Amino acid sequence: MDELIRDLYGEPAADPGARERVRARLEQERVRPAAAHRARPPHPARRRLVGGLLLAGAGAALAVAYPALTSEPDSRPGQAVTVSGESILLAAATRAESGTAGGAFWHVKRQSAGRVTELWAARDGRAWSGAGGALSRTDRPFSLAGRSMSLAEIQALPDDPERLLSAVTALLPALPEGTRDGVMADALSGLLWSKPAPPGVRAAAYRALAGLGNVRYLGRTVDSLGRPGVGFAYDLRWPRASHRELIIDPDDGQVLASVTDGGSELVLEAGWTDREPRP
Amino acid sequence: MTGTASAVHDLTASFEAVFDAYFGEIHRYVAQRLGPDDAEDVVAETFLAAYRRRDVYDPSRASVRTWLYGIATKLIGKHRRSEIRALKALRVADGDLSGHFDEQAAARVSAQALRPDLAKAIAGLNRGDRDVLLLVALAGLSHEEIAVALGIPYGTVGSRLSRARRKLRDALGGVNPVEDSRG
Repeated sequence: MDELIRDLYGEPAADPGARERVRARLEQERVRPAAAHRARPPHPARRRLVGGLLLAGAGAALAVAYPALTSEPDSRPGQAVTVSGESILLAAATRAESGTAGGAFWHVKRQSAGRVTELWAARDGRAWSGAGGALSRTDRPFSLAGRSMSLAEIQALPDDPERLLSAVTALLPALPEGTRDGVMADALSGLLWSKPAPPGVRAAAYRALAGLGNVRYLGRTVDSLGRPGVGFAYDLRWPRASHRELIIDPDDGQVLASVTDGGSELVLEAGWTDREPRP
Repeated sequence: MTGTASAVHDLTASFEAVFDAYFGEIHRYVAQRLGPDDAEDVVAETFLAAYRRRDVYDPSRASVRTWLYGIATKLIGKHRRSEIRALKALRVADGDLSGHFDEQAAARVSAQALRPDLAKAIAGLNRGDRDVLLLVALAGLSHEEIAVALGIPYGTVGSRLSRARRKLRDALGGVNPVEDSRG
């Protein structure tokens, strides 16, 4: 319920001037005689303090006494424009959560540059990949944040957005400054379709994505097969500068396509199945 | 935490630090509830009231943050009409997307589709219930902090919150597609 309420209220439109305007008003109040508000006996310390109301002063002491100044929502510019997208991601999270994780094999079939490739992974760790009628065995077929992962490792990821962010952060290599958000968005969105993340983990990935400030909502769109969805985009600055757009089906939270400046990758199938691996 | 006397001294001596640290989140909270136009006045009043009453502030009872939320919430209560107007605006704030959710299944689960009913139900709550509900959902205050901020008994926080949530659930037809592990 709280999540719905937060989603309803969204982020107020950014108003960069508000802080300074309010500061100026307080400053004005300060120069008015204090007696206008309430008669107070003169007090040497108070006189000095009133004079310094909004002037830089001994500010550090309070910060030490009240260290709980953590989340400052206004430190995330751009929030205002991502609110609509956030609600869609949160709704997708809900759908993802109710998804099933039954079936003997994880199966992904995707199309890229006119070529269809497939990946199968069994719960016991065996995996096959291939294209054009041939499958071959492969080990640790998944990759998250640049690391090879087994099915078991993907499945063991936390299903809570905060803890998932921490787990992904722990996998990341040392990154150049300013590149982390893009890499994080990429790692999280990869969990949504190309990996056998359990429903709870997919839901957490959607929620974590909704909380990233750098994921932009693009509105309604269609993928190159004409399937309708909604688009989200983010910039990657590492390992090379690029841009990725994800098209998701908001009805079921499935990812339909991933489009980069290098071309698009269409998800033809992604999910658990009892069918045997065959091309 | 420093002792009472020195913490009060810190508060008075470093009001600028208080302003810098909390302006963002207090403004956000007030702007969410009242809309941007009235928010500025109310936020200015909040910090002014805090400044004037800094000598009665008791850090052993409340953090500065809790205290500011309490002042802001009481001032918001004097702007009921603005709040109702802001809630009406929220019903349709994301209306540009509604055309997309044309399939019933999607509409049922979409948080978008719940906006009008939810906003209306929040507007229909009595002020005390709404204050508690939103201090939890928007400000993230604990029950204990809310009790101190609003000057009400701890048990009252819980009873107002459950009444508010029950009314919202009823208004949404008893269907809450977004599971809430926080209860």
